[in-house]
Amino acid sequence: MNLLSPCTSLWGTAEIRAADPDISVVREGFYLPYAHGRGWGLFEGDGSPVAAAADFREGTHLPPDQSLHTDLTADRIARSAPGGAYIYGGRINPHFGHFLINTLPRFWAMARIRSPRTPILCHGPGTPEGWFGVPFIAAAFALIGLAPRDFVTFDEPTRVRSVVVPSTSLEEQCAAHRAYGDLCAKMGDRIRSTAQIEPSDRPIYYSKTRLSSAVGRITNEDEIEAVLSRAGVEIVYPETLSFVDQIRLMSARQRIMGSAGSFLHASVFCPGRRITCLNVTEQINSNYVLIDALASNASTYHHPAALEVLQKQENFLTLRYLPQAAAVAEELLAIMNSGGTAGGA
Amino acid sequence: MSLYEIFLSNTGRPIHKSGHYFFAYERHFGRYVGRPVTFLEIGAGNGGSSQMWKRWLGPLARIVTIDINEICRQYGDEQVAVRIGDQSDPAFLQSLIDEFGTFDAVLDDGSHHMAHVTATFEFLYERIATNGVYMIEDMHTAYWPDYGGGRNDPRSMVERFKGLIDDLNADHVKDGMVAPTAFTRQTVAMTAYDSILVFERAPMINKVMKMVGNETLRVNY
Repeated sequence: MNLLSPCTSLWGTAEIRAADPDISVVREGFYLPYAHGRGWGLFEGDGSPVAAAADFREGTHLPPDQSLHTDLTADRIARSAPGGAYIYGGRINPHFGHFLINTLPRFWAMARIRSPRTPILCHGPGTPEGWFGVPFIAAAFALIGLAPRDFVTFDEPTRVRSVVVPSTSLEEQCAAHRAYGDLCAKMGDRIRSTAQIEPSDRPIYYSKTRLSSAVGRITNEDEIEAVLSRAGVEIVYPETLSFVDQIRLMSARQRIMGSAGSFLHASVFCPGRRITCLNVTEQINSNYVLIDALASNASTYHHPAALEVLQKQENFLTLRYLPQAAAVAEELLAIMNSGGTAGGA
Repeated sequence: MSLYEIFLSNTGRPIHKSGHYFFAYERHFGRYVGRPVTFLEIGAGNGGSSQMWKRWLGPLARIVTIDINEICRQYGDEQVAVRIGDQSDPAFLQSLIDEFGTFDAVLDDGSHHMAHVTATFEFLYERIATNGVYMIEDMHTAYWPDYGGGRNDPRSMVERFKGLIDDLNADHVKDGMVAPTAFTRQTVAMTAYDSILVFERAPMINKVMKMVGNETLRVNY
């Protein structure tokens, strides 16, 4: 045994803030449409970027496809946005993890500050109709009463008289506000209120073996699956479940295992869970810790030191091979059964 | 005979209504009694209500009743037109406007599910008469999760109504967070009752505030 070491350090920081994020109003500013790798976002009239409208990682890093530089000023832009006030909804990211970490956190105050007719001004490739073609986006926004008609993008630089900018309630790998936990808890409550959730003691293991693309994968994860399945653990392939079904399932199961992946972020919609995570790096990406704190999860993260990094393959950013995978699986199961006392963040 | 008396004396097809609804009906639909009117009833129920509206509104009233249930077709007569379709389907709603013209008054007594109620309102409100009335009843469901509602749930029509109060008053909001919309320009009143929401349109809303009278008699500044 002791193939697994408890992860105790973070990649990033994980500050939890009780106060609500700021809400500011940008007057007579302008909007530059999404343009991969070039300048896009929300700007003051003099061309300075509205920092509160950008999604920073670790407090300083912009997304790799965004620049906040522009030589434009509002007086050089001919097109004006119709109507008056808009609410800024940020960048709509159709990747499940980024949606929960970067997109949805900006919607923490939408119900509070938005009158129903106020359009939500957004960035991102595609159109609102296209975003709602992604089932989990449609389901999540429907839970907060939003439909494609509520969203607006402009396809050229546009002056906007008044944009209300709610700052994000989760800064990636940096900090989260309780307001995001409150929003997600309400969304989860709405899902649980419409169907009977049958609690079950049976643990579940989230597997990536059937993913056709991912940030990272363990090539012999099927060996882990086999051991856990024989031990009575239910193997779950989250990509086969709808957003709502993922939340229903996670709400029904207290004991959860899996290798680190964005599907674990669904716990933010659920009552506190006990998560035993196979972490492929020694450090824990602090996004997991932020979500755990918001959801009151009792999570522990465990790293197999023998993990080998393989050559990159198409559709997977990182591939790894896990020596003695079956023994690692047994140890992970034992840690879960012991309540995660073998270590944790 | 008052609408309530018509309701209480009904011996025909059943009508299912709460007594206090008649207070709201009389206040908001009373002006159509005896007048030419095109009245849209969403939700045909057991067919008794369309007969009630006919008796009350009079011989020049065109009652259009819609329902998803085919069985309701039998409720039609010389004044009552029954059409079968989904209240939240814009194409179906547009087909009604194409066939019957602009509705003067709408009563949503349909599914009472928030997704349907809000979708119907979104499409129809701007398309009723410029002096029309739009009433939604049984909105206690806006507090019930089974109907997509819940207190503080933004999907709830009651929550939407609360937000629309800001839109109604948008001309006076100075914090930059609310701007006048078509709703602001078209809506003269919003009224809330227990379980009932009412929106009243006006073609022009005179918001010019004046001091009138003899200025020399003014003592309170």
